[in-house]
Amino acid sequence: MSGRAGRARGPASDRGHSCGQLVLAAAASIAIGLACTETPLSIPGDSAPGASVETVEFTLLSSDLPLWRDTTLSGFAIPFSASFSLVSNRPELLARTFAKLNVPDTITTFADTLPVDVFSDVRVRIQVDTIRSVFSTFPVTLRLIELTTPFDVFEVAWQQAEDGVPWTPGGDLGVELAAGELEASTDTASLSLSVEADSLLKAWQQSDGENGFALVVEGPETELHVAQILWRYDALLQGRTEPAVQSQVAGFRTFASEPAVPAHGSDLRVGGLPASRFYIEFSIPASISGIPLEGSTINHAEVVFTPLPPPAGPFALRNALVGRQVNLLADPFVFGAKTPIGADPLNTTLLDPDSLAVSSPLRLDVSLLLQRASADPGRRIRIGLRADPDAQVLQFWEFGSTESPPALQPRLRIIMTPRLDVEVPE
Amino acid sequence: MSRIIHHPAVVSSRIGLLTIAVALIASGPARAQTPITAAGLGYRIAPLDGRSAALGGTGLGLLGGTFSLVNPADLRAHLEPGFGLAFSGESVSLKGGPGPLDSGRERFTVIRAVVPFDAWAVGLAFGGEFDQDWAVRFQDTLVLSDGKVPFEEARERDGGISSIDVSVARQLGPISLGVSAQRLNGSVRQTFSRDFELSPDGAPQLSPTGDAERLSYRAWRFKAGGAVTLGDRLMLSAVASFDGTLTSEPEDSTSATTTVDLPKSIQVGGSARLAQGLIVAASGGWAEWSVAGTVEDAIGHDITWMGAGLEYQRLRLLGGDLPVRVGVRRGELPFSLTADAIEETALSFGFGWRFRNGLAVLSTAFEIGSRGDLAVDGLEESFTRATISFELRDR
Repeated sequence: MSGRAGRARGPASDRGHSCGQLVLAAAASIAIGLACTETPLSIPGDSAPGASVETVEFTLLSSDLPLWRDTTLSGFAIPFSASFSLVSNRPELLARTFAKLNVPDTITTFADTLPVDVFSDVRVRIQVDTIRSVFSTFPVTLRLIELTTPFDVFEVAWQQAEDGVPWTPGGDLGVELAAGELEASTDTASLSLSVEADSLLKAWQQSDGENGFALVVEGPETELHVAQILWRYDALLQGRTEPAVQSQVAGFRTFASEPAVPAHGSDLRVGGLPASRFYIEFSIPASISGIPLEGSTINHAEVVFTPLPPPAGPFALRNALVGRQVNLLADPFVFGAKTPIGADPLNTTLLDPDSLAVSSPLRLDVSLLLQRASADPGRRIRIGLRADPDAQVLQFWEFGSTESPPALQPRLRIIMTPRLDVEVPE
Repeated sequence: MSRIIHHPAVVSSRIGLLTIAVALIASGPARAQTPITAAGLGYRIAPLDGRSAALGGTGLGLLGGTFSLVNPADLRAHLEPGFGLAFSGESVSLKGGPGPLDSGRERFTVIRAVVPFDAWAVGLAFGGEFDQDWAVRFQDTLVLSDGKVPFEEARERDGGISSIDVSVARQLGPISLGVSAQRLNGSVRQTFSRDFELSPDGAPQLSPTGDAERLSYRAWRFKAGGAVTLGDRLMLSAVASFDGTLTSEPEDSTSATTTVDLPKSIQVGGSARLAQGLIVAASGGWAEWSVAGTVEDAIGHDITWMGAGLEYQRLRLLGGDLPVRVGVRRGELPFSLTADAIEETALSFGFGWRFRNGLAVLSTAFEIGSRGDLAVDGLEESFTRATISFELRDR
């Protein structure tokens, strides 16, 4: 470059002025000027120019939607299939657990299978879910009492052993089989047998556990969620000199309460035992206030349920319950409780009794479903809410349905941004 | 309870069937800055070459000819067939608001071919008209029935309007007359996007949103002009542009087509050789942009402009002439967001390099100027612009 600039000075001396440095400076200026012209303007402020469209919020009552149906379905779990049983002597809720121990005719050891010659050293351990139980003071006395009337695990209730067979409220109780106390420092009660072990277990062995037994609680007001009734006994097999130690969980376990869980009406129920879920089905309008949903961005959509006052008696939720939103894969009004569901592992909601008691609404996110439906007019949205897992507690909560007064009806809330060319009406 | 707060500029208020309202509230300053390119049809691009830009924007009546796309009658100033193009880059500083903000834009201002024959000359050209490249970004808050949701929004336009020009000129003694037909064409893609943040008070998380729309522009415009050349000492030129209608049509949407009236305009200018190697040039003009009315909240104004410059032609470099130029210009912009037109002023300078008596010509121009007044117009931009043009002649 310097060589060229030097040569340029020769002819300039007789015909004009030398301007090599000026040219270089100008060229550099052009390069700099062109290089700094890429960044777009970035301007904060409230009066920004340009095309935009408002994000708007609508709330539609279920009765205002073109199609809305809702229902509660029960029976997904019953006391027999629940993971717990209930024992209570609280005045507002009396409950007893009924179970049978079907002692096996033979016992298989490492070497062979033999009949039992003598049963001995029987102990009964009651494991309690102390988180869900209600205590007033300790110790709590637990008793196993023989039933004098057999019961049907599917039909037993506080007033009946089975359909058409009434019994003494709370069961026809016979002799006491075992008793023990639950202390505050443990969640397991060990009950000592008060009858002759060999004759009891052999009687149950021969009758397949009939008539069964009842677990009752006595003493201070207590409501126990029993997780397990475990029998441990020594079985001396025929021809052997050393007993085999056996552990056996009481089968055919169920419970009955007074009062029983009330049947649901037209309101939407979650929880309880029999376990209840509610299912809804709805479709969306083609436009809302003149704004077509097709082409709009659904920023958020949710179905809002208004909780009703706490259920009467002992059935209001005491602890928070995890609810899981499920997508219904078929028409629930055709298939009922057998409607296949697709679970969304991320869509869970906490049913907090403290919030529900002050009418904090329950919200189920349907943004994705609404986005699909807005592109496919006529598509029906079907979702449900169940406790996860079902049958955790006896308690439940209810929400207003489309048959409720407007203030309690489910609502569809949509926050959306229309297309750029849509004029949002004032 | 939802709180309804109306935003002065970007109000979003809706009443649903349950009387739940939405609004946007401002978190920024009460009056923010707007790029000038966002007003009306955008920023007016002068279809000038480097020589004209350096001479205070004097694009007509220049001794020696110009490839600027102003007066078709000036075609007769070209003695040989030629081709020229000019490219311009601009750096902009926007004043006000939270602090200075820098931006820029670049464009081809004119590309033109000229063919003189006998007493005639024809020209085919591409010229800039309006530039609409800009983007803004701001933060605001969406107020829902159960809480507030902060968001950041970006709005952007990309495109502009240009013209394709066919001109014919006829020499009648010292007078040349010319007419041109111009097809204005262009498109602008406007987009917006809104990213919502987590609500601090429990409102639901909203998914982002955005959309785009493309507008196309088209119009016809006609010009007629005349020029008088007295030897190589004086040239005077005048041109008038007739009114027309610019049609704006959205693509891929159901929005209606809109129209903007284009103005009548008059421009006069000329140049004179004051001494051997020293030329003075000046021009001025008027355009009735008020006929455009209001275009997207921007008001059209009748505008005037004028400019002048000096060219010294006695310098030499590498066997070629090295003319140096200086100029000044002042004018108004056709659109503003207030009742008054925005004024633009600039100082210009530049130089050229004419190789082999004009076979090839490289011209540069540098402009330093400003437009708008923060106190009066609510906006102010300072800018530096560099224009480089290149010409070839069949000489």
